[in-house]
Amino acid sequence: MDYQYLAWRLQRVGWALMALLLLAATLGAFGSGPLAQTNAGAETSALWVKYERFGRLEVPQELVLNVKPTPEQARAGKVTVWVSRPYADQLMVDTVVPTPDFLRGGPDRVEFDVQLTPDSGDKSIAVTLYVQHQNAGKQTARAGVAGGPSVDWWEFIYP
Amino acid sequence: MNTFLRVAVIYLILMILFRIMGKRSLASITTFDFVVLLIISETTQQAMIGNDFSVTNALIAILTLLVLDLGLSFLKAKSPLIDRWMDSVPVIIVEDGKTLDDRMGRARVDRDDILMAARMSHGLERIDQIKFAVLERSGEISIIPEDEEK
Repeated sequence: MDYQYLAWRLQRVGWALMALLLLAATLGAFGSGPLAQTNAGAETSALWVKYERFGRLEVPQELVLNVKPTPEQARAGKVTVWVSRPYADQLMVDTVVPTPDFLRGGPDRVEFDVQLTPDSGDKSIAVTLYVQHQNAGKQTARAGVAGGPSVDWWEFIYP
Repeated sequence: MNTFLRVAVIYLILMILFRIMGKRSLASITTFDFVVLLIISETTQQAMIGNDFSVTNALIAILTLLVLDLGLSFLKAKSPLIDRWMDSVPVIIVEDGKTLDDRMGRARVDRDDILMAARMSHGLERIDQIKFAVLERSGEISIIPEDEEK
């Protein structure tokens, strides 16, 4: 019976762990929740990224690049945003809003040109990528504005 | 590889979770338990096969489950320790007409469960007519009635 009493104690520990896991999941430790949602870069800076620190494999997620165009970019009516190549390679991009004019691939980054409306001025614009991660594990990322600042972050994708 | 890993992980997780839930969770199937089991089976299906609905993938998933089941059966046969931890052991919960309340509480079995098993198996009416009631590894309760001379 010693074994059985030990098994019952372990069972109760297991129940507590299950409840804790469920609480963590509700809070977003496994994606979709306050623990997962975060930013990279200060919201007052020229570039900051809103992303989910924790995600799940092949599950739709939003990646929002908030870009404040320079006066030159505002006059040109477009801004070029880029995402690091290793990060982009493991993403399946469903759509980008606003739809970029051009996509260019380089050895270390993927660039896309986004048109600005005439009245955007130097206001911050959000470029939203609707993506699905194709690889599990820790993914390091970098995004930036051509000729401007860049931001680094990491995400953990559960299988 | 992907399918094998998915299926193997789901199989092991389900086994551990149901083991943690306890024996009675599988034995006493109420309507609610039935609904939970149905929903679990639907939930795990997508996780096991992902977006691959091919016959080949289904075959790999089925083979993985059967081989894992076979492998664990061999392990249990070879190792009494593994057998004990995977399938638990029978526990006496009534002895000589008296309930062992501590064990019943820990196993989440109440007097009504024991009386139901006693009625269904031997037509007994009272606890004091039971010599031994054993909570089996399957979660069912088996009854050994008191000798009739008593």
